[in-house]
Amino acid sequence: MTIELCFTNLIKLSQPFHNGQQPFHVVGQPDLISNELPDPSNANTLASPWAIAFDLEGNLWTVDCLYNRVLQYPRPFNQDFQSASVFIGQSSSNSPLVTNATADNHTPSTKTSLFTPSGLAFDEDGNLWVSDSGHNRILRYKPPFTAFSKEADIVLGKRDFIS
Amino acid sequence: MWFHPPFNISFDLTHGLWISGWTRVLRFSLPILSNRPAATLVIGKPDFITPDIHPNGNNPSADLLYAATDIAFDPFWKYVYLRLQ
Repeated sequence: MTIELCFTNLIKLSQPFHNGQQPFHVVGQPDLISNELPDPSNANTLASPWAIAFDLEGNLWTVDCLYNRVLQYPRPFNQDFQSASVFIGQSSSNSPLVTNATADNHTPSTKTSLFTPSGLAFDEDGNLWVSDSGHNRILRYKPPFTAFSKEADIVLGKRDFIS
Repeated sequence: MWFHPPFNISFDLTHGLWISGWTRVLRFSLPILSNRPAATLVIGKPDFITPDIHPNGNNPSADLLYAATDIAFDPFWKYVYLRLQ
């Protein structure tokens, strides 16, 4: 299985792979031709997903850059427009869209906030590491992962979580 | 250790956490037990105190990086690959 990145969705392709293959499922959009960008977000929309990874349980995670969040999609991925179940960086599934990353709409730096995140990875202990690019820092989150307002426990690049 | 800004994250087999930044790549040794740990390796700069800017704009060079946005290791963990945007 391979998942590729598009501007507002993720697509899933199944083996065996061949030239010109059509996606099997789409995440972030209701179908393969839609390009909706609601403001605020929903649990099943994406705005500029920059990176993807799987956790140790096989759940899919993506950085949803312009909604300032990292999302978990529980397996199995057997439907289009699947809703996320974990929203790192937000207190609800309704996030405002970043339209201009300037100081006037800059999200304050806290233990629970993200601003234009761009990367993520899991270590061998199952900890989630997120590149919080807009805050110039790296954050670590320890499992278990709550649906909303998960707090980071380590920060790299800053002396504390509010700097 | 101020990033400008960090982009992506990867791990090596020897408990190293790698961060691709703007004009440098940093490696941190795991475990990390407190905030703002010091990096143990820098690529793209001669040392940790050289500013995170490119002295020649975005002109390519053999030992400097510009817009290192992605990082990954090959399946045999022998090479690290960087995407320079």
